[in-house]
Amino acid sequence: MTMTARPLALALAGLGLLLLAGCETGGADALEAGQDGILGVPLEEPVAKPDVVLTDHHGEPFDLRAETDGELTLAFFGYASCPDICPVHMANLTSVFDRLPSTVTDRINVLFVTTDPARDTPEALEGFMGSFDSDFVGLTGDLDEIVDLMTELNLPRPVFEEPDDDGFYEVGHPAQVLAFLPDDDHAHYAYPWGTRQSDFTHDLRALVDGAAAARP
Amino acid sequence: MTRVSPWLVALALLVAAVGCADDDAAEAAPPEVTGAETPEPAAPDVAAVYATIGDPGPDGDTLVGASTDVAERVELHESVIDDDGSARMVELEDGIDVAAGEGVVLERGGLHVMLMGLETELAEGDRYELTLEFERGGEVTVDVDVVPTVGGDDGGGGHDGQDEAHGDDDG
Ligand SMILES: [Cu+2]
Repeated sequence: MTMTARPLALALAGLGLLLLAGCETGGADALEAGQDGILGVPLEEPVAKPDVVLTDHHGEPFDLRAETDGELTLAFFGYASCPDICPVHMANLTSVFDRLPSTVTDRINVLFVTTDPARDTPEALEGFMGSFDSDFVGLTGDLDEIVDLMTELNLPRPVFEEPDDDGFYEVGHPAQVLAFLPDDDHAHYAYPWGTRQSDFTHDLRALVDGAAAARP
Repeated sequence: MTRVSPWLVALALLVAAVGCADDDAAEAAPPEVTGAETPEPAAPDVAAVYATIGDPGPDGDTLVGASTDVAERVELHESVIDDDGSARMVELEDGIDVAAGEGVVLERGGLHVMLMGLETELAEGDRYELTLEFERGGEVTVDVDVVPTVGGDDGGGGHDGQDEAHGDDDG
């Protein structure tokens, strides 16, 4: 983004805020850029990418650190039988990928880690991921392993509700998307539910070469 | 001076009551439901319905239930985010309040009609019938459009216009 575009972006963001004030929303308020110019919410304590090997939606092992080393990586934790927040996050990120050139998206990983591995086998995840950008990766594993991973990342644990008469159950899961930076492979930012596609687009562009490169 | 017969009073009250009931029946039309849509489900078993429910009139109304042939069960839900950042869905057993003079919007990440145990595969471009039941207004059947999974409303729902304006700086 050029320097002259910045006031315009700010003005438009302000306008968006005004429009937003007029209506109710289930999502977060518009994000505000911090001093680093990034819209994501900075984590109080950056967290190292956990050392874990999961299984991707093709049934192949996925070594989290090795596969995403030195690359901007977004991670969302949800489950496939989730009709509202999970697919909307993934759909938004797909639209964001559609807006960005492949020179940028080729260097970004988007991971959907299941909080419900009992139902979300690689096959089930393959079906779910088929609705979104083909470069996104669905990940499953042992429940213990996934809960440990989430705990390491300071995320709330999955909450399993009582199955109904048909055996269907819902699972509480973190609402936000975490961003691990290329600089140090630590999670630095969270994107709450309701993050606009344009805000994701802005930050992914800014962070793909690392936070150091993004500093104004 | 003539005294009014109690029978006459009773009759008058009865007429008035019947009249009121008639008025109620005339008023109690279901609110207008527009823009009913289901994103093509990414999972085979569940789906959400979003829609705008219009002004139910001065007395307000409550959406108390819904039914459709495409799913085994239908529930009224709200997605909520707990203080710890955990997202979950709550079943609204008392229904969804449709505010007098306003109506209510069912939108992504908020209130929705939830279809569970899908019996028909829903694909983009399909259309199915959903019957909504209101406490006062009774039942109304609407057509629900199955829209693409990707490319619907932005983020917290209902602000795609704002996003488009904001999004202009991306080019
Ligand atoms: Cu629901």
